[in-house]
Amino acid sequence: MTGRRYKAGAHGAGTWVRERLSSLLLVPLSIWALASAACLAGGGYEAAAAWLARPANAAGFGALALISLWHMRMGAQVVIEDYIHRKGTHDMLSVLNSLICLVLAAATALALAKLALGLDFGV
Amino acid sequence: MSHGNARVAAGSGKGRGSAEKPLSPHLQIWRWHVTMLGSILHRVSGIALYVGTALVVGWAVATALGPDAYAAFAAAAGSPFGLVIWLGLSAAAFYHLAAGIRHLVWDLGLFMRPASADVLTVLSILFAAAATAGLWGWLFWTGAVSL
Repeated sequence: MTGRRYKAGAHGAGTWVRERLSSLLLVPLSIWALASAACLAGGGYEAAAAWLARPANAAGFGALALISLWHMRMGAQVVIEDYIHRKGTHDMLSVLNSLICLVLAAATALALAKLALGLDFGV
Repeated sequence: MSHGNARVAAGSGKGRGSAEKPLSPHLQIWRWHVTMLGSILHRVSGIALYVGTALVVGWAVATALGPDAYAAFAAAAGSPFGLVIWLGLSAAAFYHLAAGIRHLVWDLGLFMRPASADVLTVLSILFAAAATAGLWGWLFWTGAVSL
């Protein structure tokens, strides 16, 4: 059984809770993000930089990005487990999935550190 | 799944001989139903939003890099091809949001009967279509985006 091979019995309930928790948190965050995107569209660099520099927006954007990445890593993992049955490909895609989400999380943190906290990375 | 068995088309699982075991339901003998479409759309929109999240992070990174990087991002995002991508991503976001709320409602044990589940699914598809049309109507009407 696929479930057994990937030890669903050991962490299945935890995954279920994490999927629901991240979904619940993303409901208000994604509505706020869509409304903010509609307001920022076509606004140009100054408006975008000023918006991300505001602490409340930076915190909201950081939460949105990190919880989205957490949620989509779990979602993509389910898709990989459903369709990719060859172990080598499965393991490679799983690592790639985690890696992409980690890189995007780091990029978000660096961008917000520069825009909202004023840290200078020399770029 | 929840009400899967009620959906199996009549006559399925009948083998040629009585000695044959009934086969488990498979795609070909499932009567089409709207919750199936809803489920497929939820997965497809989720995968689209994987790319969408990367693009939104790209927007923040471009902003952090400065006016030149931002201008390059905005030029690509505002091109006709870019707008089609954002149109699709906004539809995916509205649908995934509505379908996700639908799943949270189901997790509470509500709207689980096939007819109620169908209603919730149709509502989430209609919401996504209306919200996408509303958003883009507003963006073009205010002049925030243009072709």
